[in-house]
Amino acid sequence: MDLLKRCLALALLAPAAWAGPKSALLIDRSGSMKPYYQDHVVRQLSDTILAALRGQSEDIAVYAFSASAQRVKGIENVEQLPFGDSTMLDKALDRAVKDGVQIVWMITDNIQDDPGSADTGDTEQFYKKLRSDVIEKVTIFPLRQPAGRPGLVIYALLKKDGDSDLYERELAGFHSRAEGILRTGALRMKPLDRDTVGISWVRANINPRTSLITYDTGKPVKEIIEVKFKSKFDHIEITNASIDVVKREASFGKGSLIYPEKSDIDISPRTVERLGPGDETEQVYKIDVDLGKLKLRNDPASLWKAAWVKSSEDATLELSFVIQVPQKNFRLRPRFLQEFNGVTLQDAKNTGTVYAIDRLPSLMSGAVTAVQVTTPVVFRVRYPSYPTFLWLAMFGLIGLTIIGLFLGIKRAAAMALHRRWDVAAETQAGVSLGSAVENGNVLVQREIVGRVEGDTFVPATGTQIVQPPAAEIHLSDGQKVTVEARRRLVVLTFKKKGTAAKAATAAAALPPRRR
Amino acid sequence: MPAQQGVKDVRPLVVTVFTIFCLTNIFLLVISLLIAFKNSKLQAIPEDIGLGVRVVIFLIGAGLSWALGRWLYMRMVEGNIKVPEAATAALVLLFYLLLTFAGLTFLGGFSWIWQSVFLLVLMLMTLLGLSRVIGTKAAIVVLVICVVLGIVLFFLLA
Repeated sequence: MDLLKRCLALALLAPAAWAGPKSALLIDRSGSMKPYYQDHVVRQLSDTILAALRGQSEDIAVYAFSASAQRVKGIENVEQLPFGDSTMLDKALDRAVKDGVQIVWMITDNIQDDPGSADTGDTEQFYKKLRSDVIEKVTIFPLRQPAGRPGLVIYALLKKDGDSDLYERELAGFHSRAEGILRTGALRMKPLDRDTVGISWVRANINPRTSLITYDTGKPVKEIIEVKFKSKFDHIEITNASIDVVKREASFGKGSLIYPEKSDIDISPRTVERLGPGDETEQVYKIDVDLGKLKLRNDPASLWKAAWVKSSEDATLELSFVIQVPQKNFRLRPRFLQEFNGVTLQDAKNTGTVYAIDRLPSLMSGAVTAVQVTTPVVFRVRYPSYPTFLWLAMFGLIGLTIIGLFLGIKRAAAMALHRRWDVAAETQAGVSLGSAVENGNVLVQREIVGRVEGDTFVPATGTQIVQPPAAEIHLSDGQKVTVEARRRLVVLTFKKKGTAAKAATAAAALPPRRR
Repeated sequence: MPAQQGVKDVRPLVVTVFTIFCLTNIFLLVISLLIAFKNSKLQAIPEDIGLGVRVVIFLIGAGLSWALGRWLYMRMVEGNIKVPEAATAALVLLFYLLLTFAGLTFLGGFSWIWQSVFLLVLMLMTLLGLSRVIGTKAAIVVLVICVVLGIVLFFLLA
């Protein structure tokens, strides 16, 4: 049994053990990297990166690559390997991804050993791979070197569906460790189309947090919002891009009790002339929002909530635009290029900059990049009052119905109780008088002489019971009661209904009142 | 003489109830003035509560006002106050309590307008109707005290 438990535990733990490291460091071991190893630059960089990665996870894979990539135990093993002839960045990346790595860090000089060789297109292949859907995020750190040799590049790559949070933590960890030690700047190259441009609010009644005015349902909503576009890029600028409006469903979302009649959104002007890194556009854009009339959903749940839960809501509408940026219109800012870009290989060697870094934006973007700009805007909307009065009217109606039913049942019960008795009236001389029991009232020739309450006869005001002498008479079948009404004596004979033939009276229907 | 004794018994009760109701209304008016002019965030009930809840609170208040007004009327009649005077006084007090509940329920940025109007009307009704039961001097003294306290409260909370 114990053995079985151990086997089961092993079977459960095994997949976790085989999962392998999520992060890997790939170090360029091509011939062109030789001086960096000799000066321990690679060792220093590797240690800095590994320290940052190990701050998040202990299990980090280390690879050395040139023409091919091979996994090694640690940085000291890389230094024992022979230098390769070429730099196959894409193949190294493929190998790590194949091993199940989600986050790849690469240290390279970013150039082929022999730019004229058959491997020339290799870097291009690598960038194609970076552009593809296989890679979700790309951040590049160009590292300046002392004059005499070209700068280095560190790539931080996140595989598609990789652990994005871990990636961001590792980046932050590296940034904090490298700051002040290394001369570098983070260059986020991918995604270029998401979370890269935002909106800055110039003048509006509505914004992503709150609404300055409260809108009423049933009234048309038309707003003009003045905004500027704000870049979140650190070093990339956008020029001459067109703006499209994304058509969306006229809705405030599932949780909202209200909905707009339409959702006509327009922006003018329709071009971004220039948007510098981290800057706002100089141009102020006018967004026209026409929602038509706001309406309350007419399902019972919405009507109930509008009446009893809240009197208003903050309805959120998503405004979406797409800035279409042609490949050539992504540019690195001049100051960054001045610091890190080597125009030629010789220039890069002379100045310690990175060769051809200015080509990165065009290498990393497609023919046209659709930069998504989405922002929520909040409309505070007051619900109409009609659901309240509708419910109150309904409750009132239900209340009245219940009261009516109660009274009706009570009356019917009383009627049923009264209907149990019939009465025959005659004078002492035996002359029949018209008589009946109506709604409990005992009528003799249309005059009320008393009431039957349950099985008791109660005389009316002005009537007295003569025989048997009592204030009230408990009735029994065939009971005779003599009463004095209007100074004459009347003999009433009560009979239970259904027990005997109806009392024979001359007038089944009451005769006209005696005058 | 017993009738006179009865009037003396009920008068302090009416004055006390009137003072409490008047003070409450002045307090609520001060709050709505603070909301309107001093951007105060004071709230009797949450701002975005459903209208139905407000209406129900008001209806309950109206019921309570009616019950209290009726009870006071009975006390005054028992205290040998003439029926028309007792009815007027009870009605005035009923409206004071009704205005209290209306103020509590619909307190907001603009409620000071109708609160002020109704309170002025009620003060007028106090001087013309309620004063016959509690005396003109007592009515004026209570009204002046309440208004002064209201002004002091406004400047204290502003």
